[in-house]
Amino acid sequence: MSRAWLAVFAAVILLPLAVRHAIASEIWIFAIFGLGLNLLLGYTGLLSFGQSTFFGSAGYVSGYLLKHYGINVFAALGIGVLVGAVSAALVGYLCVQRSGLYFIMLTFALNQMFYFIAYQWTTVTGGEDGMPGIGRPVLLGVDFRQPLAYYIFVALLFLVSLWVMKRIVESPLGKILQAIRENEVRAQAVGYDGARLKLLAFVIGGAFSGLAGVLYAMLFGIVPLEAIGFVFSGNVVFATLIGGSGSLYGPIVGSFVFIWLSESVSVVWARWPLLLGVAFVIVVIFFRGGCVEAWARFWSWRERRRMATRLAS
Amino acid sequence: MRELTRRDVLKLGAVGAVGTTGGLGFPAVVRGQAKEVVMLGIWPFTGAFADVGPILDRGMKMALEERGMKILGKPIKYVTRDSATQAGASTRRVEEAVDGEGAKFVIGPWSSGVALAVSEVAKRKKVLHYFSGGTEDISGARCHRYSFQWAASPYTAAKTDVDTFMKANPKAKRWHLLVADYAFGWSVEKYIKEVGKTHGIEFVGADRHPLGEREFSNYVTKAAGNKPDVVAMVNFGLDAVTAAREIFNFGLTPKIPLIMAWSSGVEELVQLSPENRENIWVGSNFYYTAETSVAREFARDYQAKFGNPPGYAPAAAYGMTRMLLHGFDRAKSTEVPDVIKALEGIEVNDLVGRMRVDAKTHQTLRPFFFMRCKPKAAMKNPMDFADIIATGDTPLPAAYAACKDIGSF
Repeated sequence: MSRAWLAVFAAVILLPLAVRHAIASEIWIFAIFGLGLNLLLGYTGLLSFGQSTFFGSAGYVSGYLLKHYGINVFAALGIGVLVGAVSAALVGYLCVQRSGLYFIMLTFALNQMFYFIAYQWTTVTGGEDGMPGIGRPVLLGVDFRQPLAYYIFVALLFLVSLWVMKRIVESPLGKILQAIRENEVRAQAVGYDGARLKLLAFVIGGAFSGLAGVLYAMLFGIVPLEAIGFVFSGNVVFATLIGGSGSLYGPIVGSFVFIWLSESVSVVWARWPLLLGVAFVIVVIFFRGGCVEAWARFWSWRERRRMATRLAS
Repeated sequence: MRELTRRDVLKLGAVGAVGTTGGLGFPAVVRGQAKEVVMLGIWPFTGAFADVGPILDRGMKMALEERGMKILGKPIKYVTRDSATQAGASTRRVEEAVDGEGAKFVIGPWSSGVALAVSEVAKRKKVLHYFSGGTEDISGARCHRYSFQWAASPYTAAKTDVDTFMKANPKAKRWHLLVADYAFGWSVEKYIKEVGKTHGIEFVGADRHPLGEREFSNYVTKAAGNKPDVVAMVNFGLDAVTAAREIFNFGLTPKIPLIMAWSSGVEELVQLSPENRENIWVGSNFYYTAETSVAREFARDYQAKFGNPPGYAPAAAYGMTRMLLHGFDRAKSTEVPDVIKALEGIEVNDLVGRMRVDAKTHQTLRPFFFMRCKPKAAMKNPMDFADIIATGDTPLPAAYAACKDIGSF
């Protein structure tokens, strides 16, 4: 097993000892959300500013079914993944027709459309008040209302998601997506259907977002309107960039930094988003690969210094 | 990337663990000491209403400092959390403050949608929650034993607005409404129409605009086309300010009167020029010239401290905290169920006058203010925006009450 996986396992085990279970759960949920975005942003080179469309839609649909029909947890998750994928297919089909700025604007605009549907459809979504009262049903004798039980459930799903995403990005599909990122025209010239593959990346990313959306709804017992809003879409882009969009583990680091900053620093200092802003500027200017790149550079610098001292002596 | 050695991973793990569990970690299991009373202000310090958070905080702090940060001989520990005007973040942070800090009394937040999420947490965690804002649901459809509403019922507001205005302008029978398109707007609109019937008002138009609208010209031309005697707006904050400016720019005001049915008062009026404000009539939950001794002292102290008169936001935070403290006094206990029982039916003369908490719905029955803006020449100072011309406190008739059962603990 690689060291990165060891670190992830260690984090999964240590995190609930250091922070409250709800926050620890949220970090992994946000990481799943980030993994989905990263397939688009980091591996396919598509900046989607509308990921909350899939996150929120899945939350609303599964939340509604959990609330009114008390469906099984796995059914809720399955439906959430499906809703995420289907909504991503719809949105993605329109978006991949264009590229660059127009692509970004389309993801944003369609996100706004979904947002206003949720905002206006108060009888179902609760509009501005959100959809509260979503339970966490007992499954196989495990009471998910126990924060630790739910944390373990979320952490396991996160590990599975990470494994699946690793398989995807290391598969031929992952390599082709990276080829599209590097040079779409050339990838098409070799015979790959760029639009179709980008749509596939969208659908996979949407499925991950959907899973995260349902877990989020169950975690807080509510689907708030902002879960489908553009700020939420922005947050996940932000977290992924800070963590490092080119790396599989970037969104995980980003999710940790983002949630941890917002939860611990906000208590001490109300204007904490300033810190995020500064962090973002530093990342954009000095470490385009985010925290992961900063870390790698730090190690190589240390290594070089060690070699230099060894040579000198 | 250099290959990490086993030693590196261990070092990294150790540093991480120390960092997170040490000074930078969360107060995971530290509970408030039993002898102190922990109160939480959940205010928007970031996000859509980041400007309001700090002044809400001021109001609550002032009410607590008046008591020397003590209640029934016990020290009060006042903690705040950032609501970020996000239901998810607020839910999480209130839960964290209840579990981690031992907070038992929660006041806030600012936005109605977020308040309902916080109210759910209060119910689940069995802590007392006081809120002031436009939603009817806290003391209506989603009422429960732990949440209280400080702002007047939208019915009380509509009744005060329409009755008082019609008394001053009995011939103004053609009304055009401009309503923010969400739950709060709809309920005030419903009651304005209901009360309007008793005055024979004809509603020549009712337009709804989305929250956060910044371009009102089409709404204003439509309103002008209806040739109303009055334009009445049910919106809040920057929406109301932007619309009022546009209505003035199109030459509707001051020729015809404009009613801001549910305004925050000072915070909105200060953003309009004296010319804009001419012939504007304002309904609000608070205005700093209220003729009560508490309001006078509060306005004086607030002005001395911060250099401007208090608007609705700090007044609401201040007023809610005072009501809560009255509850403690009456209960002679700092236990949540005791304070709730004491608040139910409590009657005090406080910030806005005679205030009573309806035990059946947890609605604070209190006066609502109706003001008329002053012409520039009559203003004694730049902050002298309006005269209070009436207050009204007609409670919501039982027929409309959506809170059928407040429930048990």
